[in-house]
Amino acid sequence: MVGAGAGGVLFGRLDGSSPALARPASRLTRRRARTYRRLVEALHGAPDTRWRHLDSRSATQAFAHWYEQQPPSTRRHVDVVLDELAGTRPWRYEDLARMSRPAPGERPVRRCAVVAAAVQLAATACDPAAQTDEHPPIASLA
Amino acid sequence: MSSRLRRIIDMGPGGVVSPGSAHDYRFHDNRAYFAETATPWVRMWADWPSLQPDPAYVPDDPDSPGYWRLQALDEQIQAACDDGVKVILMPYRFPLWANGTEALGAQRNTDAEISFDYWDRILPGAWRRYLDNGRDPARYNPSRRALEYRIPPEGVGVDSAWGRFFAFLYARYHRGRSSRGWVDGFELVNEPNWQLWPQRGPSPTDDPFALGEPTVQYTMAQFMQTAQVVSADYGHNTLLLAPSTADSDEITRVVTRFDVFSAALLDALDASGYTAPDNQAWAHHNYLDIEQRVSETRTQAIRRLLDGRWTGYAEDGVASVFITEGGVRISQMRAYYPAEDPLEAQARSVREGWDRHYSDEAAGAGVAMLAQYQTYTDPHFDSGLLDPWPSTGKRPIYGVWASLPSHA
Repeated sequence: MVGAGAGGVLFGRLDGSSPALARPASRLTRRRARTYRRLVEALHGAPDTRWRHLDSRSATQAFAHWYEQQPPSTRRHVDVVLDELAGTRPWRYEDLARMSRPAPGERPVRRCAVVAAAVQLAATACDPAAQTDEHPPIASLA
Repeated sequence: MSSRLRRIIDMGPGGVVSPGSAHDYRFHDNRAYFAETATPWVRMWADWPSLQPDPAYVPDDPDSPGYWRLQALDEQIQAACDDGVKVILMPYRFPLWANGTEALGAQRNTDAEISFDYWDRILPGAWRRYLDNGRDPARYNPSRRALEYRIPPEGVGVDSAWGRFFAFLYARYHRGRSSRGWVDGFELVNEPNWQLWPQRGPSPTDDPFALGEPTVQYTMAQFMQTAQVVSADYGHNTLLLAPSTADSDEITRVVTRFDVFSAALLDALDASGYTAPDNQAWAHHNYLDIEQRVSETRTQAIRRLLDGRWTGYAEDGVASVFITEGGVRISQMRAYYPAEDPLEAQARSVREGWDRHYSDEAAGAGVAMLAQYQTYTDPHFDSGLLDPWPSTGKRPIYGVWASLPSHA
């Protein structure tokens, strides 16, 4: 069974000892906002137009507003996902799609989870708001 | 009988849409959470667009672009079998190639896509706001039903693309298999009275949002007829569950209230001559019953509709209703119980909900299963047992869920 505490070289350790897990910020930091903006720009390269209607600056502003309204546990989730994603290179849609596909071993699985979570965070600002009782739209990479 | 009330955790679509993600049964200690909470059932979602993105390939063709996701599903089902956890597998959504929206799929979040059949996908207020914002999705992107929920124009009969996909799933995972993992139940569709569109016939007035006659029940009846034909080829050896209604109280062009839908479905089944086989169980979702801590449940309202009309799966002579999806959303706890800590309120709602249903009478009569939506919570649909991944913080509900009786 693969545990949740196994980080890798590319993706840092993501267990309870992570600073982001211990101390969520109350506002989206400049560094994390920059990561989010780069994420949205990468998603602009998707084969369909799903991500292209909002510019990355507007999307980041909307996401920062959403972030401030979230409970600490959600902000911790965002902090860790964006911090982990910040270490990846390069930043094209094809790279994200490749990283989302697991391969044998723990590190890639960890990476898949980070990328999947990051894409859902991108959908927060780029997809239509869900109704109160509705599951969020499903965002995935081709 | 509800003194044998089963428990199930619904993992959501992530394990197939994004293998390796937080809701992949194989990873992130999910198997340990099932063991620790003695949860005997798991619900997995066979997301069809993910498993067969290209109609030129059958799902198990190694050259199919969805084949790696099928392998991930295989492994998750096998892992559950290895753990002694019973699986309910649900085909989910339609690929755009199967429902005639492929061209629109290349234009998502454009006015062309948003405006397509808007009266069946968008509530009137959201549509007006979209118009007020110049039909510019960058300024306002209205909530709407996704393209993947459109009912295929060809229907869902045995010879349809859906019929072939369901037959594929049944052949691959039915209960009679002795290798590669099997499932104990197939759930036919998710919340047809909420997600599928159109729900109704054309508006009878100049107002495009005016209610027409409900039509979605005919599609639901066809799902059940097709599943029955497929199941018969294998001696009805695996449980079938439907219609898995959303428990919404709304009646609009995009939502059909659960009891209106259920009554119309029973009529449609009668009209078609359908007789439910013993392995066809009725399924429903019940977030509101548990969140609102009510004794007069919507589930029992459904059972009253079934009385004398439903011949499917029963235990001790009583028609059973399986709650295959449910849970308690933190957002609702804040709204309903502002004086309570939201996480404690979630745990209390589940505890009290279980107590009401763990009985052969009243709210528990005929209820065969209760559900918990997800292990790690989804920040956008916050009902999980744990904080959002990668935190492993267990919420108060975790201890409550683990303390409940375990019946397979």
